[in-house]
Amino acid sequence: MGLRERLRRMGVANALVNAGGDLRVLGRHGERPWRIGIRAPRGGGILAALDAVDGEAVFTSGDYERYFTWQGRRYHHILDPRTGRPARGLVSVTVVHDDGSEADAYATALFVAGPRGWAALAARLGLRQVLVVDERGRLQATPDMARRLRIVARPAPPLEVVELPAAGARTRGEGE
Amino acid sequence: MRLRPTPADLLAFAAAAALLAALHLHAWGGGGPVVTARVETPAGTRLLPLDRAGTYRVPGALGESVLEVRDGAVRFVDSPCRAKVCVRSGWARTSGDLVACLPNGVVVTLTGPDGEYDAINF
Repeated sequence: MGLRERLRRMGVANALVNAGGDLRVLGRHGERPWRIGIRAPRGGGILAALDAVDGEAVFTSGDYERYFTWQGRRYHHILDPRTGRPARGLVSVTVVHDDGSEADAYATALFVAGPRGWAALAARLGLRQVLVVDERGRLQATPDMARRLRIVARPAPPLEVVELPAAGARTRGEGE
Repeated sequence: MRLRPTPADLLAFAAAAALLAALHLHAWGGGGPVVTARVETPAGTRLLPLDRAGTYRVPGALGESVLEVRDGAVRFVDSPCRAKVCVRSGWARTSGDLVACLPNGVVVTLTGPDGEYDAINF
């Protein structure tokens, strides 16, 4: 039984579940939606904000929570299985999805896919809402993500909207 | 000699008064709502206002966690856990932010009167 169903059976219709920064929301915060801030991967503060609606999970994989620095280079916990080394190119990937476990795994997979591979993989996985930050602080987002995202960091980093390539078998709505 | 204020004088006075009011609001008012840290422990919950600097010793499941409050932010300075993930998390200062020492059962959540965020994703 999933989290949502479990809470429903306990009579909880509105909730925000925070698993150490990974979030899932049910219902609303009173008369308004749940307000989520996405932490900036460098320098602290908030990068962007979005209103999460019923059932949505917001998961981020980044290189900035678990890492050490050695000889000026950052060694973080997301390893590229092709090299056995920390994946390079992106510093964070945020996924909004309706399944928390999938969102968690997919965010990590997109991180490993890197700046040139994430969009194709997102399309294959049926993800519609993705935000990535690269090593130079530039943002890329899918159209569905860009539409709802409010960039709050100042100065505002550049945001490029990336159309997802046409997906094969997996299309919109799958997994719902 | 009698001095009568000219329209230009009045304008200058008005501008000065307006500037003073604006500066006052800028410096003293609307500096954002005071954020409070809600500290949950196995022994209960307490609130720490973040507008007063201080060091707090909080009993947990393993021992004492030490929290530092400074400049509107809070962090774990020490905790009797092995990995020190809590200490390495650094400062929490935004409403909705959260730092925790799970081994010690101490969870610190930041809340405002109407916090800008309900939770921070990272």
